[in-house]
Amino acid sequence: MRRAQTKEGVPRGPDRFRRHHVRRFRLRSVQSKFLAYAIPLVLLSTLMVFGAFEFNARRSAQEQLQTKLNELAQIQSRVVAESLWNVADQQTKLILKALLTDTDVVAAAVYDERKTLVASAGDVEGLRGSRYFAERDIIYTDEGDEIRIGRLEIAFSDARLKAITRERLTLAAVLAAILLLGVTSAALIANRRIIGRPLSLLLESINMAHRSGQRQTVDWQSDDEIGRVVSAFNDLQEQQDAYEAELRASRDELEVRVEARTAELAQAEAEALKAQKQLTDAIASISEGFALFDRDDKLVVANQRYREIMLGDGDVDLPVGILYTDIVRRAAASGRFPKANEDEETWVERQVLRHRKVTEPFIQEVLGDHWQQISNRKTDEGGTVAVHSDITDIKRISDELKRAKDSAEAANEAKSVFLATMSHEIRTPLNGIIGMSTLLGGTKLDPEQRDISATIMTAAETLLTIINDILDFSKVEAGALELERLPLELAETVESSVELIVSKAAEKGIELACSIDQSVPSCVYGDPVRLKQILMNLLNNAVKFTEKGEVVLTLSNKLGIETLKPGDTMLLSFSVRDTGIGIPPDRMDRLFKSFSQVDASTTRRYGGTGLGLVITKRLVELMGGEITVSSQLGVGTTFAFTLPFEVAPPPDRSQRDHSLARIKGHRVLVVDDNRTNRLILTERLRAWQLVAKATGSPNEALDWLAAGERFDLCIVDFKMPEMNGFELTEAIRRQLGAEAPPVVLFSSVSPVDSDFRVEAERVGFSATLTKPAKSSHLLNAIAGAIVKDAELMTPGDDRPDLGLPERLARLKILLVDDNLINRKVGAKILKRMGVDPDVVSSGEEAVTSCQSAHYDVVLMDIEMPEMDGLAAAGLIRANLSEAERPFIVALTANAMSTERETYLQAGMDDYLSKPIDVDALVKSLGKAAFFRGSRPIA
Amino acid sequence: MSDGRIDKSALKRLIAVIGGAFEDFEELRDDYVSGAPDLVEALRTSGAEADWSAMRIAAHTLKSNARDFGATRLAQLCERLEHQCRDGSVDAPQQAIDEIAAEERASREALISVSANDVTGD
Repeated sequence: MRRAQTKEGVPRGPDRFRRHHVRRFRLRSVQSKFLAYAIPLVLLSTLMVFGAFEFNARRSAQEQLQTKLNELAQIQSRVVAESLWNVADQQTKLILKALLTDTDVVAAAVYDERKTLVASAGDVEGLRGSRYFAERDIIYTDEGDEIRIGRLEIAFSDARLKAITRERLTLAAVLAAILLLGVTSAALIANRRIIGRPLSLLLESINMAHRSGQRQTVDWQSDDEIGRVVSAFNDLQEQQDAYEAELRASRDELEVRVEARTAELAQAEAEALKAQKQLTDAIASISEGFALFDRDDKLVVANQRYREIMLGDGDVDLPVGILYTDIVRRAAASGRFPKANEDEETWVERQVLRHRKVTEPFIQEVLGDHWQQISNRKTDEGGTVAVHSDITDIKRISDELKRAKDSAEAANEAKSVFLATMSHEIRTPLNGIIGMSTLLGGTKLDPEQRDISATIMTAAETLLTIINDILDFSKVEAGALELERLPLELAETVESSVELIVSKAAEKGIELACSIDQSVPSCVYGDPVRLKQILMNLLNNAVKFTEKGEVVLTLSNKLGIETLKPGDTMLLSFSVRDTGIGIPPDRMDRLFKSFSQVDASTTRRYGGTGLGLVITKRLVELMGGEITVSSQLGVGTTFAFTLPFEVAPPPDRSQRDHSLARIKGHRVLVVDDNRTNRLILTERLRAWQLVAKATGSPNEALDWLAAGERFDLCIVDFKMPEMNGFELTEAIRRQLGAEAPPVVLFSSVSPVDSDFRVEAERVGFSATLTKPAKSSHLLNAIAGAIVKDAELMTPGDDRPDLGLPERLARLKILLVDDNLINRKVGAKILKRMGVDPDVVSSGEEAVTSCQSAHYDVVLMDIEMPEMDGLAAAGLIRANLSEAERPFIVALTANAMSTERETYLQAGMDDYLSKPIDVDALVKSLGKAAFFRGSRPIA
Repeated sequence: MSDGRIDKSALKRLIAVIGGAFEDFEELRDDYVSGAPDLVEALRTSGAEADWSAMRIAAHTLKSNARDFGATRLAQLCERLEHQCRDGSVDAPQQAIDEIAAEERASREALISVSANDVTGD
């Protein structure tokens, strides 16, 4: 049924298409179409043309006929009039009959005035019905009178007219036929020549391309549209050919490439297989246990050794895809891991944790005193590679080494302890000897005894020096000497070294000078004790080998860079020049060798172990520097060394700067008979921008005053030849009365001497200083004497007054802590003190707050998540100008004193440990207040 | 209060620094009592993720607070964990956290029972 329907139904697919195509083709035949338009048009136009002719011809023929009829009637009516008047009816009849000779006339009749037929000819009956009919009155003219005597009627036939029409129509039909034929054949020929031919050529070419795929150029040239179409078609064909050629070429190329690629792939696959095989073999053959897990901790591959280590049996089945956790559980169950046997659950948990969160390689004990090291690495895909190495041997060796090291260290320590003990043990009686011989020297002795006691003392002192040198030397040699890295104030360190030498130099009458270049930074990081030791050794040597002249210590910035920032590295150049005996050139090389002085006689004459220079050289080298010596026999020697230093932030100089600013420009009178002391003091005062005038003679000083010179301060030495410091002071006061300036007393006498102290109190000094005085002490003394201002008290001296001084209560404080309770406690403490702090809970907030508001103090917790206190403090500092920066106090619950330095170095201004100690907090706020007060812009 | 878990002198010190009012102390104690279990929970979470950094912060905070409230042993346990976290080698974190949790619970209970009389006398 279905099939029948299909058969009878609409033809499907190509069949239908073909039929449709054919029909269309027929319909669209240009020729037939053209004819279908042309023929009717030709016919119609022919018809219209001939119709018009016909119409005209017929009308003119009819008009001619009518005219002829009318004329005939006119003429005949006159002709007939005579015969009718005369009643010659026969004649009339003849006339009428004669009329009939004209072929057109079909009938004629004459009526009298009574309308009676007089005569007729032809078919009178049809006379009046004829189409061409004329009638005239017959008028007879009798002597001028016109008398109507009858009537003439004539009818014409249209037969001739019709015949002529027929002829004409026949001619027209023939002409139309000829025209049509001509048009049709012209159309056919033109169509064939102009359109049909090229079209069929085109069609042929298209069909050919269709059938065989070959394109043929259509050979047709004409300058009309068809020609253009053909040439466009040819162009198109050409293009298509070119395009197809291209397509074919690229297809061919593609095929080649595909083939090549396929070959490559095959080769790569073979190589990959090979590599995989090699890798598998390699993994299997390595002595380490190896396993790879994917990102879900499922096993990808594990070698035999891994199975052996984890499960005790290399042949046990460990299927790919097994979870790491399961392997660990099986390992724990195998009893091979002593730690697992103790607490399996924790052990397993720990293994899994370590596996997931890859850490450093770790060591694990395996039953039977075996040890393995496990390294876990993450792969790029998120998987884990586990490598288990048997380090039993290494562990054993390392344990042995550790034991050996421990025992060596213990031995070394024992040695150090022994040395320290020994030196202590030796030094104690030695100090006893020195002390006793000093006491002995103070008793009443005869010259010989005095000489003996002095010798004992000298010998003891020498022995002490030797012991100290030997200790230092052994430390240096053992490499046990560790340098400290502390902020080192260069001027302070150098000056105090020089000060220690002053008395010795003074004894021998040698001038001592110290010159520190302006470009030397105020503070560097270094070991002040060891630097001092170097300087002391060189200065002592210089003084020792100089009989007259001077010893000069200079310190300069080797590179001459003046704008140094903290953190910069710079080279400092030190030199100690003397005018001593000099060193012979051939002895120079022995200078820095152990236990070798220039010659044996030197030792005898000058004493010493000869270790001093060796230690000095080692220390300089240890500090990364180099020491050189140049000497000219009999002229002098110069030791020079350079040391690299990192520039440190200037020490808390706010107080110092404050003091300096206050004392600047004041006039100071220095009276000291010791020239070196005078020089050093004067130089120092000038460096502080004081106007110093110095003299060695008290009398000269009094003369100056008498001459009207005025000073803001006098610094007088106690022991002077003309009069002592007390006497001079009193003399000055006598001379100037109320105008007398304050006096600072220098003395070498121990202030413990009660008589001296009582006397000094009686006279009344602004300050008494023991020589050699430190710069800072001297500055404090001068500032205190000149300014007499409580503000100059050191901040640390602030009494922690729980009522909190108003200046502290005025401070704007920001408290930063991530811990809620700490915040509350801190706020409560501060509120109790009368300070209302702002409180934030993170480093970020602290940074923001400090930018939007001004704070005097920030109490900053160190341990905070995200941004810790150090980072926040750094940002706050970086964001604000010098004048706006708050005083930042680190707060931390990690009460390690070693960290204190770290925090201060990291830029914190102070440090408090938690839980907060109220006194410490008050002290710190005091410092902050001072710090603020000393700023240029408060 | 007699089990010695809470160092009374630390509490006295705390009350002294905040101005001596027991009410103020109670307010702080409420904060501590409600916050401490959260910190233990934070320890557990960070432990499960082996996030030593988060664990260190949590341990640090709990240590600091425990010290303020005289929970000396708890503070010690936390400090130990904090140091291990800093060094990056936490041994048996589970165990350490369990220990801290137990101590925290016990000291919290002891702390809650502290009355004004306990800390204002002598």
